[in-house]
Order: sequence, then C-alpha cells, then structure tokens
Amino acid sequence: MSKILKYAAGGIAACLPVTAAFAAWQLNMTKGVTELSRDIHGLHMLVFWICVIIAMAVFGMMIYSIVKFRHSQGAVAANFDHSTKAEVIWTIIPIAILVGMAVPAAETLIKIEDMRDSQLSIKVTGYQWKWHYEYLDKNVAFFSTLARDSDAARQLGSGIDPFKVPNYLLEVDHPLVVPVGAKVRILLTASDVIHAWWVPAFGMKKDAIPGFVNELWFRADEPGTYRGQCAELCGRDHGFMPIVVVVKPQAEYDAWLKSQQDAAKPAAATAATLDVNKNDEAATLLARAE
Amino acid sequence: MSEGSERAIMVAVVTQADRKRAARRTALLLACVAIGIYVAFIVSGILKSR
Amino acid sequence: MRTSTINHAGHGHDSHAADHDDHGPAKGWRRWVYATNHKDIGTMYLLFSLLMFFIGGSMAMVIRAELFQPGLQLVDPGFFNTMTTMHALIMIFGAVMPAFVGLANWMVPLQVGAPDMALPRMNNFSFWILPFAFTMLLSTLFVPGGGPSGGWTMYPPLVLQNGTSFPMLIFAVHLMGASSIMGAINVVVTIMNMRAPGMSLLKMPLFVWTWLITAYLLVAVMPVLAGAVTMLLTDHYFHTSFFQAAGGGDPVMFQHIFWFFGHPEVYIMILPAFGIVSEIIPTFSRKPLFGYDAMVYATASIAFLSFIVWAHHMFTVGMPLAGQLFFMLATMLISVPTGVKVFNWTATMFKGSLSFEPPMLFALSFLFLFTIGGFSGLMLAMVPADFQYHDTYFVVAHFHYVLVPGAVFGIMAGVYYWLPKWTGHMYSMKLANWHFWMSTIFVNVLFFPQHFLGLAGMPRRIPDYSTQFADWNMISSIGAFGFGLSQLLFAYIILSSIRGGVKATDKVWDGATPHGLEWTLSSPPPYHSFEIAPDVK
Repeated sequence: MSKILKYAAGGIAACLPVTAAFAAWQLNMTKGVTELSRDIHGLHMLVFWICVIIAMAVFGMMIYSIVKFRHSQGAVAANFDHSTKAEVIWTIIPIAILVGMAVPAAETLIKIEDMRDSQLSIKVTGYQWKWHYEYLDKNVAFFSTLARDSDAARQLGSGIDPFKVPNYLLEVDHPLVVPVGAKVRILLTASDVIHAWWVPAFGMKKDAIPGFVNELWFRADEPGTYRGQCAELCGRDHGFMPIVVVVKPQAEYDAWLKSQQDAAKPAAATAATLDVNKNDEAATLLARAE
Repeated sequence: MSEGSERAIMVAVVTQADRKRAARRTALLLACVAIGIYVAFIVSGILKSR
Repeated sequence: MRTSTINHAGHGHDSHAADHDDHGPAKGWRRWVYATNHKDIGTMYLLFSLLMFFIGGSMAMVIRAELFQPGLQLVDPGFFNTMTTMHALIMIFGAVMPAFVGLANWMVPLQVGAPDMALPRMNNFSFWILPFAFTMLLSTLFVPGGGPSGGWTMYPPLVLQNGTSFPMLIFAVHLMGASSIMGAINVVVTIMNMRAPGMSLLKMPLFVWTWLITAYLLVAVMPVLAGAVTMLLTDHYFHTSFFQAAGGGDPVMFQHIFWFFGHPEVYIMILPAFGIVSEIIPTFSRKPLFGYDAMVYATASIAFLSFIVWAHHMFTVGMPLAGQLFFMLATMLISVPTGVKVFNWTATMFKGSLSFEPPMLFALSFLFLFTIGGFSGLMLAMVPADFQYHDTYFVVAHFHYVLVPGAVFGIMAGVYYWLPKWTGHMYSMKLANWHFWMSTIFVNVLFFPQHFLGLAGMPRRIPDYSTQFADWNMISSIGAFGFGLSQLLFAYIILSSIRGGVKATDKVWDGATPHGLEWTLSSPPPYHSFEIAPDVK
C-alpha cells in the first residue's frame, strides 16, 4: 500500500513540470501535416459533432423524464405503448444523417487508396522488435531500433526517470528520412509476425504482414520530426519499436541520401546479402560524424 | 381433486412429453447445423490455402 | 409485454410436485454435481461468473497498476501481454457469457411457463465443462513460458510463438465453445417447444426474445471460432499452412474467420442485456415498454446485420477499396436499429412514473453509457478516421463502454432485479445504492480518459508509454482501483441476500409494475415450478 502511495506522490509531482515534447492532457486527434491527416481530422470532427448533437437530444429527453416524471413527486404514468409514425421517423432521419457522413468518408477513402504518381518508394519491413527501411533502387537500407537511452530506462526496475529521457520510447537510432512535399509510397511487409506502421501526423496506419506486401502513401507538407509506434501486438516488445520520420527540405534530403549511399558502397562490396550489424554500424558511425 | 383437473394433469403430462420429443429433434438439428458450420469453415480454409 | 391475465392454476403447488419428486433436491454436493434443475444450474453459472469477474478483474488491476505511471515498475512486458490476453478471455468467456447463460437458465423457463429447460442433463454438462476449461486456462499461468500472450484475438503467426500454453488455450476455447453451443441449443428448444399454451412468440417477454436471437447467433458462430482455432492447432502441430504464407496460406484469413465469429460474439454479449433493460425500465416507469414489436424487429435486424460487418475490425489489414466501403456502410447501418432501441427505451420513460430502485439505477446508467459506447462505435466505423483510431486506446475505450457499463451493468441490473426472487430475501437498498454510485462514477473515471489517450496517439496492448500519455493514464488507473474495490460490495450484497434478509413477496417490487410469469411464483419459487403449465390469456 505504501508503495502505491509513493508512486502516486512521485507521479503527481513528476506530472507538474512536464518536460515531454508533446502536450500533456491531450484531448483530441492531431491535425497532422498531410492533406490526408487533415481530411481525417475533419471527418472525425464532423462525426463527433453529429454525435454530440444527437446525444444532447437523447440525453436531454432522458434527463427531462427522470426529473419531470417521478413517482415520488406524484407523476401518473401515461398508457401509450407504441407509435408506428415515431418508429418510421426515427429510422429515416438517422439513415439520412448516415448518408451525410458516408459521402465525405468515401471521398477521403478514394484519395487514400490512390497509390499513383509517387516520387519515392520505400520498403518497410517489421521485425520483432525493430523496423527495417530500404530505399528501393537507391542502395540505402538500415534498421531502425529504439534509442539506447529509452531502452535503458524502460527496463523493469531500471530506476531511471522516463520524464528525463528525451522523447521517451519515441526515439530511434536511425530514423526514416524523406523529402518534404514528395509523395512517398511505403511498401510494407514483415519478417516474422504481423506488425503495423503508424505515424499519427501522417494519418496513415497499415498492417505489416509476413509474406504479403501492403501499400500506403503520404505527402508531408512541413519539415519536421514525426513519431509513431507499432500498432499491432507483435510480442514482448511491441511497445518498444517506435517509428521516427524526419521530413527534410529537398536539398537536405538529397545530401542525406548521397551520404547514405556513399557509406553503403564499401559495405555492399564486402557483403552480398544484407548484413544487419555491418550496415547499422556503418550508418550510425557516419551519422555521428556528421 | 375434481375430475376436470385430473384430466388437465393428464393432458399436461402428455403435452410435455410430446414437447420434449420435439425439443430433442430440434436440438439434434441445431447440433448438426453447428457441426456443419464447423466443417464448412475448415473445408473452405483448406480450399483457400491450396 | 402483452400478457394481460395469467391463470394461476399451474402455480406450482407442491402437492403435484410431490407426486413426481417427494424427495426434493438432493443433499450436499450431489445436488450441484448432478443438478438438472434450471434454478440450480442457473445459480452455479452466476456464481461461477462472479468468481471469474473477480479473477479477470484482478488481472485488470495488474494492467492498470503497471500503466499508472510511465516506465516499467511491476511486470515483465511478456507477462503484461499475458495479463491483457487472459483478462479478455476470462471476462468474455468466463464472466459475461456465463452470467447471461445463468440468467437465461433461471428466467427463461419461468418466463415462458415451462417446468425446466428442454434438455436438463445437457444443461448440467454445459455448465460443468466451464470450471474444467477455466482451470486449464488459468493453469497456463504456471507452465513454462507462461500463459498465452498473443491477445484474446489469437492472431497467427504471433499466437504460434506461445509454447506450452498454446494447446491448452486451444483446448479451453474448444470446451468453452462446446458449452456455449449446447447452452444455446437448450435455450432455442426450450423457447420454441416448451412455452405454456397461449404464450405466442409476440407475447414473450423481451428478455426471452433477445435470448432466442442470441442463441441462434451462438449456434451460428461458435463453430466458426472452433474451426479457426482448429486450423491454428493443425498449422502448429500437423504441418498444415492455413495461415502461413510460405505454405500457400494467409494470416489474414484467420482474421476473417475469427472476426466472422467475433462480431456476432459482441452482439451475443449485449443482446441479453438489451432484454434485461427492456424488462426493468417498464417496471419502474410503471408504463408498458414502448414499441414492443419494433424492439423485436430491431433486435432481429441487429443480429442479421452483425453477420456482414466483421471486417471493420480489420480495416488496416490491406483490403481493397470496395471491401472497405462495403464494411463501412454496413457497420454504419447497425446504428439505426440500435438507435431505435435507445429511442424506444427513452419513450418508455417519457410520461411514465419513475422510481429509482437499484435495478432501475443500473438500467438508466446502461442507457446513458452504452449510448456513449455506441457513438464511439459509429466514429470507428468511418474508415479513414479508423486509420487513426485502430489499435489505439480509442478502441479500448469504445469496447469497454459497451461491455462494462453496457453488458456488465445490464447483468448487474438483472441481478438486482431478480435476486430477491431467487433468494427470497430483499437486499440492503442502501448498500446497493452505494455500489451503484461508486460503480457509475469510477467506470467513467476509468474509461472516459482512454478516449483521449487513443486520440492523442497511444497504441493499445503496451505495458509502457511515452510521457505525454502519463496524465490520463494515471486518472484511468485511479478509476480502475476505485471500480475494482466497489465490486466487493456487489459480492457482499449477493452473498448476504443468499444468507438472509427481509422476506421478499411474490411480486418483490410492490410499488412498481413488474410483468411476467416469474412474479406469479413465490420468492424463492418452488424447486419445481410450472409442473402444470399456467394459462396465458
């Protein structure tokens, strides 16, 4: 019992000066940085407000009845027990509302499924418990694993305060890098169990299924660093294989890509197949030297 | 006990037994449906993964 | 409920019963192990369910204790996954479903004027499978590798990494499925064949109707689950490759088969609650249920639609556009008959004469909070938005709203309504009120913030999270501890009522207007009721 109190006190104290990059007490979905994420946010808000209005009407009737028709206040019950007209009305009107919601939803869905005219294709493979990124036809590939400081802090009983770790559980050693404004096509698969790739800021999530290839696309409108997580239970460390995407202006992206390709050349010469450790180490060393 | 209710008891007993027989038939039918659905899904799984 | 007068001739005089069973119930353990009496079997189901509710609940406490703060303080991540998996399996198959079967066992024969269930010995077997199955399931916690940790949804390939617990899980699922199928068959044939003369289908209480429809759903879909887990078993041990791409199979096929079961399953878990609430609200509004026929048709529509929406659990799996559109529209459509039911309950209250005994309190809480769960369900149906909601705490919030203040509060409402009939004793209204208020307040503290967590981007099934999710997680965990503790009151109230209390009358709720044949019997009813069928006008 005292342990719980200790945690409670510590937790409440720790909450007060929140150093995390994101807002605490967040209530709503992000608007994101892509056209799709903004469309999705709009659809979400449309449905939300429709639900609020219906809720106010229905709960209003319930509360009114609870207040006005109390037996203890001498209310006498009426006797009516059906009305075909009412049933028809409260069947037709909801159907009309649903049609109103379905139209924008279908439009957005058609946009989401349009994979044509992409500028960059990246093959993403889910592993237990990390991601692998391969820039198709560009000779750049690497693993992306949970950052060391997060990994140390998250061990059971580590004693390290998560609030002191920058981007706790949302940082990786080797992020995905893409150019701003380009339509990026992700080809998604997995090597062992089902994973899922999700970046809330892009509004896109899709399952990574072993033996199959899924597709999704996004076009980031603003440079920045966007963080997501694996979104399908994949075993013990499902919660510890985040996704980080750095969106760079075109010129910076081109420079980054070239440096990756230069680093990959000697490694590719010495290893015919993808060697996990070699590529990872080479890329990490290069990144640190930059 | 009056004659009327004795007859009522007899009628009730016969009806209940009849009903139990009908119930057993329906139950057997539903059990076959359940087994049939089980088999159907496994067979369709086999066909799909050929 | 259209029964106008009820002839009491078949009122269960023990002089008739004595001719058949002058020894009364068997003594000691034999009464229970060899039980064929629907009341005894119903009691066993309900007590079993109560025990499972606390076991599943303590697993939830472990989960929320770990999630109280960011960082890993209490459990290994693998064990955490076992807790989430087992929590769901136990609550779904051990608590909610057996509770509804227990209520059906107790009430359906009474409400249709039948002497017992149609197949009493199969009834016994249906029950006794469960303690065996759950002992086996719970014992997986102690085998090498621990309990199953791939989620109650058992997706391959992950579920096949489970080791020793895997075959035990599959066997337990098969057993629970068999129990459910047999129980459902019993309900169908009891309702179709054993109704008292004069009780036509459209005169049956709504609880009986919803159970009839639920029973058909069970017979239709439990075999599907059995098929799915059989294929998992053969994939693992007998070199088939139903779900392995390397062998020509498809992991997504499992998801299709599972959710073809899974979606009707969630309606199986809510329709009886709809029936219970449809009994309670008219009673305590002193007004007939509004739109009886519409309620029956709406329930049937929901059941039918439940077969064609399953892939809304799989929107991110990589489905063709046409599939996504179809499942989105079909799922949205289910909100129509569901809404009709909510409107009818509200119309029953409107211009009634309401009193707020514990059953009514839980029924009203159900009405409010289940509706909130329904709204988040509608939001989840919108496919593009679902790409942001799927596998986040938004989904967790949704299904817990429909299952806890939905199904579970429905069960509690039914228990509070019929408990005095079963035990013959009124329980303490004051304690029941405390249980109600604590439960309602804490259930919202527990689950409402989870909507925010999902929208903020927190995935589900993770033991640790990024620090921006800390605040709502702490609130939710506090709600969990409060809610969990409050349930101890429920157990106390039930057990006290069994032991003693103010004697209950036949009608029990004398100030209100309960309808139904069960209120024509004594409290408790005779061991054998309706040996002679009542006359239903």
